Amino acid sequence: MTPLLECQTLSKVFPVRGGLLQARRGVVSALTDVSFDLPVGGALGVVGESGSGKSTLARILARFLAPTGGRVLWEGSPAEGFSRREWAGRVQMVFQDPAASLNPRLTVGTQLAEALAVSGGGRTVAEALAEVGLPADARVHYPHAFSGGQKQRIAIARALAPRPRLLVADEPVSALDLSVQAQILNLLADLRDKHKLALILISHDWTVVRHMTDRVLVLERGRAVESGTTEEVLARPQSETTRALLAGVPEALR
Amino acid sequence: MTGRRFFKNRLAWAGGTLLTLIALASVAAPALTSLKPDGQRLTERLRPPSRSHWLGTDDLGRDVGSRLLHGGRVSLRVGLVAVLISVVLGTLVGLAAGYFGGWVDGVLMRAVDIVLCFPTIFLILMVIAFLEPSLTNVMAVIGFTSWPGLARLVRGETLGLRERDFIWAARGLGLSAPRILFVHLLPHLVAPVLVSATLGVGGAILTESALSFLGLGVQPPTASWGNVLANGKDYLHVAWWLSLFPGAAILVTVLSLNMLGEGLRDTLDPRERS
Amino acid sequence: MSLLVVENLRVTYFRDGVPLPALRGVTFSLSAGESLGLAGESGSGKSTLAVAPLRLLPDNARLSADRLVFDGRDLMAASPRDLRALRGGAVGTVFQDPFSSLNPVLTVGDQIEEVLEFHAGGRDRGRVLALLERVRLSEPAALYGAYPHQLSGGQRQRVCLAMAIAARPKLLIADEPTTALDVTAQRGILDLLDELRRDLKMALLLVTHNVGLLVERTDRLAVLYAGEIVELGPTREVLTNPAHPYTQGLLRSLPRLSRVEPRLPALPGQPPDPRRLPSGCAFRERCAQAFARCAVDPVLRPVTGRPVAVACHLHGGAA
Repeated sequence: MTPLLECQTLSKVFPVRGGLLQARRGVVSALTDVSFDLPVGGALGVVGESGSGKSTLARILARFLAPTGGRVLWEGSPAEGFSRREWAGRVQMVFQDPAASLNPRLTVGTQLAEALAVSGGGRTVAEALAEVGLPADARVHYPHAFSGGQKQRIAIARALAPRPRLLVADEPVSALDLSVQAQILNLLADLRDKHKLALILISHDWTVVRHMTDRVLVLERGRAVESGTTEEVLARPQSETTRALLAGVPEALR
Repeated sequence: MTGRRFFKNRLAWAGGTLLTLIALASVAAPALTSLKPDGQRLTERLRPPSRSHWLGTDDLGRDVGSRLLHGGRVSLRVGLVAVLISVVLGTLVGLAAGYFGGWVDGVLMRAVDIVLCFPTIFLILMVIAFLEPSLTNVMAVIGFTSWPGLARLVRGETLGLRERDFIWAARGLGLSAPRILFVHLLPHLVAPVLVSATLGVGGAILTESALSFLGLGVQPPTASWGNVLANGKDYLHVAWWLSLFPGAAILVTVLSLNMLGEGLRDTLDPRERS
Repeated sequence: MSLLVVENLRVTYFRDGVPLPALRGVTFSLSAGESLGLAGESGSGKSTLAVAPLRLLPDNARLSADRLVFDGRDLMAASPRDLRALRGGAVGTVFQDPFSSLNPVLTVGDQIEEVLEFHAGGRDRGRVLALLERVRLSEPAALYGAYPHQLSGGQRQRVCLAMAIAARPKLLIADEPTTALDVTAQRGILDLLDELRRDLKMALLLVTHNVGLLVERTDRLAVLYAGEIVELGPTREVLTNPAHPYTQGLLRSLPRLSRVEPRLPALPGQPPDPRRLPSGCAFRERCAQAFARCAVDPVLRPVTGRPVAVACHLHGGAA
């Protein structure tokens, strides 16, 4: 069976410019030779610290950035072959800070309606809101009227509107209150089951990754240093990074 | 909530009120005075302020007060239209340059730099010298020379906004560039552009006054604050009212516009950080 | 003898004339050398509590307390000069974002010297270098002349710690000191705080939104919710055997490494908006065990037979 997503030796290099004429001074390697496969409906965790390249990877998968090396295949076809709109109907992203990922000057209804229009309509804003547990009258309000958890629900509704088959969630609960995290994780799990979504979850928090994913990829300074099933990696961490990250989990949460 | 803050801001209040009075007075000019701005009464030349002529008369016996009221219409119109032109042009250029970057940004910003290189007054004088001085030309010329400043402002704001997550999300949905520019980005630009525009109206009025003063703006017999002021300079020693009142009108109007602009900036700025 | 005594502390912010209650009657005390963790989410008032004792509140805040005493001195009656002497002197503070806590145009050395000048007798390069070493920064001499933007987040936070302990304070207040840092850097800072506390015999007030960080770092733990302390007791006790439904629900809802459940037992609703606080117990709307009496705001009371105090009618007893 062709995997849903294949990443082959992905690399991303950023030029460093400086000086009066902004000449290229050197490069920063954000990602080097990262490869992995994602089966249909699979859930992959990407763990690493800041600077590990996990956010760069997310942006490449959402096609906000183009890789400088390697390629991304969707069901065997190269990602660049899809138009922007076609890709929007396949991969969507949920961002870390829900307040920043919603336009503060547009109503919730406007933002959801335009997202729904991408997949050719069919569903109403009220239905999209109901799916994430929000009342229909939320549509007339602006994002700032909602709490962090509610905003993230709206962001998830928007991400699901074009009916993607893969959701890339970049630290989806890190910016939320602890008492609300479980609600959002449950919501993501429910929606995954309902829509048979594949999930790539980026996080620095091993407890979240443990809960949501069955496979995990550990990044350090742009390179994949460990991969395998989540259970295996947790039970027998092979790399220093993984061990250090695990040690960072507070006692009370083991 | 923003409305409430606005009303609490004394600067905005004062500026706004004053401006409204001036605007109303100008619009209602024909109703406020039966004296025609063009009505020459050669027997009444250069009369100081009196009960029949509150602000005196000029060298052709025309009532200064009436000329100023009607002139206000001209000056305000010039200010508004000129700023409108610069806002439309400046916003479009700034948005395009800031959002698309690359060569688009390069080309547009070079154009901005070129226009900004010329001292505004000289540029205007050169253009007016080629065209004939008229109200329309004045408005157009001021508008076309003041857009670069606004373009730079809009470009700067756009550059910052472009990297925000909600813009990335919009792009991730495959929304078209015009939609992102006009539906998503534009609402964020209203505040800084409004502030800049308000202050710009004052600048445009001053420029028009200068042009008319030099004889290159609004032509007599139509009154504008600038040309009434120009008229007055020849009679400075004998008819102080011919210079003082138009000068005061310009001063008060520009001042109230500045106060309104500053007040708007105070009200809108903290709110910007939503 | 208590180092810090706080009794019925109330703080309300006023924005556009609308009152926003941040703290609604907080009472606790801290002994010399003791460490107390303050855990809470948005709207809990924890950040206000971190700065209130030193009266470091903005102009739009109103503070009142029955008692606010530090080291025998009445802070309610203290003059601005006395308060200034305390801040950075007998009471050191470390905040969440080290980048904005440090002046970007002054070198590290300069900023620490400043603290020494005001609170510890005078500028002394030697002491600054010793302090930098104390917070386990390598190459203190090089760092002395460095600017904040040249340092990593973890390093900056250590510099802030150095400034906070420069005058050998009796109390250190740390407001989310590790939130802006990487996971590995977090451990380092917390370990360092432990070490400094033991060596300098300082009391520590550690404020955080991440309850889990507090185990083995603090002697006691106070759980804040909607501006009140709802549970207070020895840290281990509170985390292993929580008495208040909020603490219970919160701890139960967190995903663990050791077990995997298909669905997490989540707490419903969200922390209340300070502008629209419900009457009675602020947790009532989210509590599965709420009953009639909860219409009255419960008071923090000791639980019989346990060393913890809880503000909940389920544990109601004689006042």
